[in-house]
Amino acid sequence: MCAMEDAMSAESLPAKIPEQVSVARVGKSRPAPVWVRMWRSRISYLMLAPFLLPFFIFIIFPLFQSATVSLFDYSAVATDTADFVGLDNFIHLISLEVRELPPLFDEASNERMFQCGRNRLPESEVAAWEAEEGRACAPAFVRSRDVLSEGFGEWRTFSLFGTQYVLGATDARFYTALMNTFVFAFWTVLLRIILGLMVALILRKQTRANYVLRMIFFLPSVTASIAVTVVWGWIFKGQPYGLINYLLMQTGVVTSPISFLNDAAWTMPILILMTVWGGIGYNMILFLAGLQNINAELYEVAAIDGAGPWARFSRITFPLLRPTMLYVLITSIIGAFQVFEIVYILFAGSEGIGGVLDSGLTVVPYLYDQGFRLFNMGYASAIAWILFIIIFALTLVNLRVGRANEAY
Amino acid sequence: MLALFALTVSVPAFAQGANITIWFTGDDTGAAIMQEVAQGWAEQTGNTVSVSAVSWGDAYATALAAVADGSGADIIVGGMSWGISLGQLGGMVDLGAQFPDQVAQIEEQSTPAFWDSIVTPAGQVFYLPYNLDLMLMYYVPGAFEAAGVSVPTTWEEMAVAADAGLLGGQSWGNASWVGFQSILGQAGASWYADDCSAAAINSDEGRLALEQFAAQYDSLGFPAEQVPVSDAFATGAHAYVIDGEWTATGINAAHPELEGQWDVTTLPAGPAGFTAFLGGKGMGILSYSPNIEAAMDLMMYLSTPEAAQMTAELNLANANSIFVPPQPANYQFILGGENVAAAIAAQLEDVSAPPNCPGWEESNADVELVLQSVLFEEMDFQDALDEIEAILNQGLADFS
Repeated sequence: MCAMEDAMSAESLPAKIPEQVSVARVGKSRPAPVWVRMWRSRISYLMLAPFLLPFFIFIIFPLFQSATVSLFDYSAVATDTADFVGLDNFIHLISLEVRELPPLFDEASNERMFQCGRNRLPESEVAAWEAEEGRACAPAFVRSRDVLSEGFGEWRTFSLFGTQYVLGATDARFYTALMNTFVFAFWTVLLRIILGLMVALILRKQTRANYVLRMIFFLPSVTASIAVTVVWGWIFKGQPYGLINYLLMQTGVVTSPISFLNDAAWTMPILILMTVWGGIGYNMILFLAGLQNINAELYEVAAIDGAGPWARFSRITFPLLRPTMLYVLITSIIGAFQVFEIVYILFAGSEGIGGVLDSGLTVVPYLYDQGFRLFNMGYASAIAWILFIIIFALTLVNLRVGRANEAY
Repeated sequence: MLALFALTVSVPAFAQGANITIWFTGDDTGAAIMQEVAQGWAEQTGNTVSVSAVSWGDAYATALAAVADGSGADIIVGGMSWGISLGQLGGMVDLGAQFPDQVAQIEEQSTPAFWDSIVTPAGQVFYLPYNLDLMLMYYVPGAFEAAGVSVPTTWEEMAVAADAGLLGGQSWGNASWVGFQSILGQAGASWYADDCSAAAINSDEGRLALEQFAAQYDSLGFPAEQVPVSDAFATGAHAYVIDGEWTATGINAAHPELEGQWDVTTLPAGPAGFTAFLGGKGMGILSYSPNIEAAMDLMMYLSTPEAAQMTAELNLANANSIFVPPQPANYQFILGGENVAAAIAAQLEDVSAPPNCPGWEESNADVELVLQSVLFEEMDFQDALDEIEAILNQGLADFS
């Protein structure tokens, strides 16, 4: 392999020499002013105009407009009352603080208090309650609201070395949405890549059966996502006639229906399942295209050298698929962070835009809620920019890691 | 002299030949019905009207974009809270300031709960009522007869029904502030003080409401998810379901076998009454409209008994839906069957619309999270009341 690359480099070397000399010569002369160079290239610019004009009008201008709006308390309706607030929107979005939650004691008896269901009981009454209810009480702590600074609300509580803490945020819903988005992105990207690659490897051979199977796997990618989401909604309906519940009840797995879409524990797994199901086929096609570009002779040579299936995959297939993998990874991350329609369709009913307890709330639906329900356009723009920064950073990391691992 | 006076009264105060555009939030059939009703006004005045439908999901953003751009429809017919929110941003005409006599006349005729909800605490009127939506209780009489218990008319009877294995459910307003507001009224509590000076929910009545709300999902068998009435009855999963009046005409259409098997009545009563949540649509004039006078005249026309009757008849005939006029004098035009009309009329005696206090729109998502924490995470009742009170007071402070 290395010898072959050296040979190729040697072949291309003579062609590069004159070009390098030419560049060096130009570098010594004084370049013409920008406007002169632009004038000389006016025909090129004119021919580029059909692309450049819409690009500036529909991409660059809205981008800068959004950046400007994010610095204002701006409603889009009352344009005359837009106040410049600087970075306040961003600060309000990301501000966090940690406070210790002291244990709670009964004021009269000074007994330690416990939370038993919805009741707060002194320690002396806990055993009786637990025996009657058949479940455990938890130690009660001072309320988060009583220890957090003004303007901060509870986002999470956690225990560290036996001490209870509260993580407060000025916009706890944003952090909920952000955390949900990260969880959603992690699992959907991972599963779509692994399963997409597996299916591509299985269906790699050019047979009629594989063509049919590829088409079947790809179908969800070309089906209208709104229609598919509605169907998923029916599948997971929390009624005895919801498809999954019907099967579970008929087979005796459960006796009463599970409220899949209104149970915070189920919401995210269902969103992930729906997205993975819809995205495997698309990734499969990309991986298949990548696999077609791998020279079959490499496998033959490896087989002659005694390489087994795993060695062939790990030493040939996987490294040579890296450019495809990088593309799939980046586009999947971008897509996952921008998830909107499935959340909106499944949950934007009367229980709130993010479902019960915001368990399905992701960043873009939250942005929509702020911008188009509450008219906080400045705030919504700030959310959009934070999302952009996160996606941009993740893309840069991926590109850097991808390049660092380029071995072929 | 008298003839001259009559002439000045009958001549509209606006130029003829105006084209009034209405954005109707809903489907094409609803828009077509309004177009047909408004045609009567167009013929009387020599103007034209064009009504187009805008979906619920898009209407609010469409109105926002129109106001920002300064062009679009003259009138928007949409969600009842939109008048105040768009109006306070300068997007709607203050009808109370510009047409005090007509607005006073409409106020006098309107359902008080709805009117109170669309007027700002400062007395600004950006909206006139268009129609009402309200919660009712649908039930299967046979199920109660078979179990030997009465159809629940009180909270206590709901518990008796649950003990007999007859479970309830909720569709509209499930696990949300919308559903809770009915119970809040039944318990005799309210979100805010009457003058919107402070939150008023942190009271004994508020706690009672919260306990009943939690009991629905704990012991009364309400599932966490919305329960579609027709499916629930067809499968026998629920004996009674709380939903909007619009469901009444759809049950038999979805499941013909249910015809004659179900009935509808008012919500079960708490200690203070059988309050039901009241929603509906309002109509207002967008601030940039060049036809404000004509648009107001058209809205007045749409508020007449003739228009209400025609709208009700066309809704039933063309859309199989029930139109509930927002004027008690026009309740007589409610169609959809005797039992349905009677239940609607009875329920309208005790209804409660969303609060009109500053910050409510911005606060209700956070309030809903607290309510859901009570239902699904066993949040302490008093903690929840304290939390909701703090949220509402913060909203008042931020947006007053």
